[in-house]
Amino acid sequence: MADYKSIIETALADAVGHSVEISVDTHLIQDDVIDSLDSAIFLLNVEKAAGVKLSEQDVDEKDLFKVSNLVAFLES
Amino acid sequence: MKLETRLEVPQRGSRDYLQGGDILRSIFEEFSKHRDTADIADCRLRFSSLSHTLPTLLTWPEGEPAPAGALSARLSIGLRDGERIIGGLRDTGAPLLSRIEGFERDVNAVTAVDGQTALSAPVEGADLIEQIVFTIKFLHNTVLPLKAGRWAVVEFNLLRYLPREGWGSVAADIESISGNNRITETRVRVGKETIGSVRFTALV
Repeated sequence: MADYKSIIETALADAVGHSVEISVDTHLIQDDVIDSLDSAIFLLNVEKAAGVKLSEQDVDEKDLFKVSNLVAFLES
Repeated sequence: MKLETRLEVPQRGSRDYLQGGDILRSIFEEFSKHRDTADIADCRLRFSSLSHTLPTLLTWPEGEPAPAGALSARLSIGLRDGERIIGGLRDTGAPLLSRIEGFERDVNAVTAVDGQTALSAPVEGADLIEQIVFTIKFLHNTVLPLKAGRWAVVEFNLLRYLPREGWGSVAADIESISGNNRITETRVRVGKETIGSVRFTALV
């Protein structure tokens, strides 16, 4: 199984320009890890690395900016 | 190379915000006051927020800490001798200085040349960076479903420096579209050469 947390960390580092320490409890927006433009790049990075599409509905309804939710979504 | 200087950005067209291409061109012009732009091997400019005011350009050698304070964009310029210059933009709040009207009409002259995935942009009077931005914006507004939003540059990732003149036609292919249709990655070719990619985001 792919290491989705590692994929998220790499996508995040590219989006914000430096490595960021996160946990499964981190919420990337509410914890001010990324802003709106960075979040768009972050989602595109995750999609490319994981080979998935993240629709706006999924991002909103499943709260995919919370790391634990995004990992669970990618694993499903 | 350490710099801290306010960029002079002559804005073109009727936009009420600075376009990424305006800023990139101004950065290259500021750079040319200190080094030969032919020294530039690659360039990456990433915006974190869009600005309606003139920015200050800050640069510092790679490895040194970034200056304190929020940056609205991040810059990385690689030189042919191996040196890398890191930088960023800081909002000043200073109003835009000048505006050149007429470009919006010219953009309409852009035409599709390869189905719906590639365009050539012979916009008279525009420089190469403007040609690239015009081409990609036209491409996005033509082929993507989200037409109500404004498409804005969020990142230039240029694998090589752009010549000021003597370049061929510009073509663009959208390589990736995010699942929410809000950000794209577009490969840019000048003549027959791929010179990098540009990421656009849709502001709604």
